[in-house]
Amino acid sequence: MLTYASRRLLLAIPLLLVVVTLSFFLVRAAPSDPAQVRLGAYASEAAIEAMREEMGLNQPIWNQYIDYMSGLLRGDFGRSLVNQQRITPSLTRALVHTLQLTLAGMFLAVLLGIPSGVWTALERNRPIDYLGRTLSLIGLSFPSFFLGILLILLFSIWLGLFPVVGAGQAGNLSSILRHLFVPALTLGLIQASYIARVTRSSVLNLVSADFVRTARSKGVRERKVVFKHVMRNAAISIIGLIGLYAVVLIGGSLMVEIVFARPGLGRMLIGGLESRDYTVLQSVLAVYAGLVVLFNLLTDLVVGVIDPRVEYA
Amino acid sequence: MSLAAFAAAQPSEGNLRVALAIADSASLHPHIVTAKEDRGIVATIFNGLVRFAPGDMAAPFQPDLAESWSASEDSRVWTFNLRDDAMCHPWTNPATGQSHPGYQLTAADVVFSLQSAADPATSAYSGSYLGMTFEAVDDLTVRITSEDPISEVLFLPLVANDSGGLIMCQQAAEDLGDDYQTHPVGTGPFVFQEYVPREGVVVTRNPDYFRDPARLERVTFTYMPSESSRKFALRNGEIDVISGATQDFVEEMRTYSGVVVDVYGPGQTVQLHLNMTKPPFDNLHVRRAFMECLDRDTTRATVGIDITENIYTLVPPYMPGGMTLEEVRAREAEDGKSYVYGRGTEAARAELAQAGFPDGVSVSATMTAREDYQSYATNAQAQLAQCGIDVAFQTVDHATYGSYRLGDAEPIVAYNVMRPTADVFLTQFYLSASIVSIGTNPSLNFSHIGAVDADGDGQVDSVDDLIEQARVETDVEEQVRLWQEAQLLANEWAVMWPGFGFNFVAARGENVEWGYELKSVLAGFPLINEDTGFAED
Repeated sequence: MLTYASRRLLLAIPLLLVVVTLSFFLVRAAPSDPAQVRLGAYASEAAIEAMREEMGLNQPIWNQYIDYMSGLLRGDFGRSLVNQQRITPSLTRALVHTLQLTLAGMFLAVLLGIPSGVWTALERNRPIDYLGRTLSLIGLSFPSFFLGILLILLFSIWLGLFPVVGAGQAGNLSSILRHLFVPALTLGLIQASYIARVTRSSVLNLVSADFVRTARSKGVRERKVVFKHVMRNAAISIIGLIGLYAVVLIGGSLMVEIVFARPGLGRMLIGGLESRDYTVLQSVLAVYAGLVVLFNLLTDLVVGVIDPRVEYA
Repeated sequence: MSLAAFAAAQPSEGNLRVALAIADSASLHPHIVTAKEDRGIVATIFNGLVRFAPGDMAAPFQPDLAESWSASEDSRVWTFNLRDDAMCHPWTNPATGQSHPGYQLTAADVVFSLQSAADPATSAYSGSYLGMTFEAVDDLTVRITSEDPISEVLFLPLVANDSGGLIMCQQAAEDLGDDYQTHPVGTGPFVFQEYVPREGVVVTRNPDYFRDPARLERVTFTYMPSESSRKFALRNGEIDVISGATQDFVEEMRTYSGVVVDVYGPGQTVQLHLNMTKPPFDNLHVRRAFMECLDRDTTRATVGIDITENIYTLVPPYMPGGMTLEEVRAREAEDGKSYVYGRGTEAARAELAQAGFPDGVSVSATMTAREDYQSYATNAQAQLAQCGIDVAFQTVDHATYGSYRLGDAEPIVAYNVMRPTADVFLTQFYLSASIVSIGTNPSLNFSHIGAVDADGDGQVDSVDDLIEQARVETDVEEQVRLWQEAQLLANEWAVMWPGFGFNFVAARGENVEWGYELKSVLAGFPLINEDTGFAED
């Protein structure tokens, strides 16, 4: 398995190179530039030109590309074009906030999605099933920013249980968790809808399978049938889905970070986009691409562990 | 304050928590910042030689770092006598880790700072200081010499506590180098403590401030681009001050107990410029049809009556050189010409018929997705359609729009703007050298005044002489008259629709006291100074 994982990681390198190269050139193709945005329309042409020179934007684009890539190979994302801050520390902090949110959202999604999916499958065509399917449909239809606002109203404004904004005080677990709960629930509820529906259909496919009928005919208790025979097999497709949606969750965290003013990758991306901060933009996109590769790899590895049919060739 | 703890501290600690409607600061360098939120931050850290009266930019200037000042008879040489108790804040160089004590600000610092403000390489406002030289006569005397005479109305804003007039401390700026962008050092009531990208900025009370030390112990600025987040945070007591932009914001905030809403000037003027080099706006009558069609009150009603006020000339009426409706009407009667327009559909259609377009005209233009532009642009679009002027807007993000409108490709350009003086307004928007993209000093002359025949007589029309005469006129009354003449000509040529002024909007907890009456702040963000505090203090 180690060989397989190493090979997958090596194969990811050219993919990441392509993503980084594309993002490098695409962000520069957008109209406007950081010097113009930073100085505003009040500035004279001379001032804007001087700022372009200072930012290195007057260098040939290939020189800029080689500078950026050589820094990247050393693990250095360079400096923000706009405020000259080193990007790596900012990116690390933002990544921590985004991963906290994504993993907590995924945890809640699994916690809510799988049991409700199993329950509705076992109660097929009964009121619980209809209720579960309706709720999951509502969950699928809700934009995350709207759900976030509703949850803020409920948990923060009306009940006064959780704070609205920020990521909490670094090093203070209680503060971090209190700031994390409502945004994670926002992400988690929507993903739970997906997981519940896939779990329900997987379980429904399996409850009528031959090996399940055989187990029942042997007198195995229903709970054991469900957890040992049905769920173990259903887990393969569910974990595959969770891996896939982990990637979607990272993307979905963008809107949630805006609504809850969490300083994660999404906020960094939007800020970079507004100010046309090329180095920040391409760095965040590179990290997003890296996360996608990493989550896909982890999913494959976990599926391999629980599914003996998978071979690491 | 540890990282990510912005907005977590309690007001009882004397900490004013301010939410900023931006994702991050572009810079904290006083001569580079342009966003009102960033200007609000640096205003707590720096002083000018003189200062706008807190909360009222129309009131006479007050002494700040300079105790007194005088001008030569020809208004070319200005001399400032500095106070001897202004101290530059202490600072730590993040690159070397070395700490430096504060030191007394002298004329050398002021000269360094003004030279920096005049240098295009280090300042977004360098154009305002062209032809000026700065010298330190002695430690506490600064002399500024202008090539041309310059009136008090034009000169004092350049050395006041905003933009290029904010005085940097030379030793700190030289020691910090590029890091000065994010480690500003000044003489103001608050000392910069920390900037965390995308999270916020903290400033703390300056115990050595030359006025009384600030009532607040600290101010925590938190970046919070989502308006709904800011509103919730204020309601939940996590934030003390937030900004808004819309009538809905004002009405919603007024329904909450414990929240006070401030609507204040000078706001931004809303302008629609018509490019006279692009058909159909190369035709005077089509431009007049455009102006006749648009009814300010209708547009304002959709944007918000509480947060807007009509304007009738490029320069808003509350600034020297601007004109009220009564003043413009009086000139219409006197001159027998139209300067205001807005008579409605029939008048607009009559102009279109006179232009040879009885069936109307169609125009394609780009428009920014930003809400403050969309709110009036869509309304104007609907009004124009009723008059036979079919405007198709393609919506793009604001940075892209900024690039397009500076590229001279747009027949209609929307611009929300505030400038410190009538001269800056007129120079940027009406001087021929400022024609966008192709002028000798390209700026914001979107209409191409000064390069085309604006009144249909076959001659190129310009207001350059009026603007340039006004700039060196030291008699303020005559200066104002020249500015007004230039604007009335532009109105006659129907090159720009001066719609209305958007006032700024902020909401605060009822225990927050600005320490002054908030009428207008040039920077656009409420000034947080030594008098700002909590009611319990």
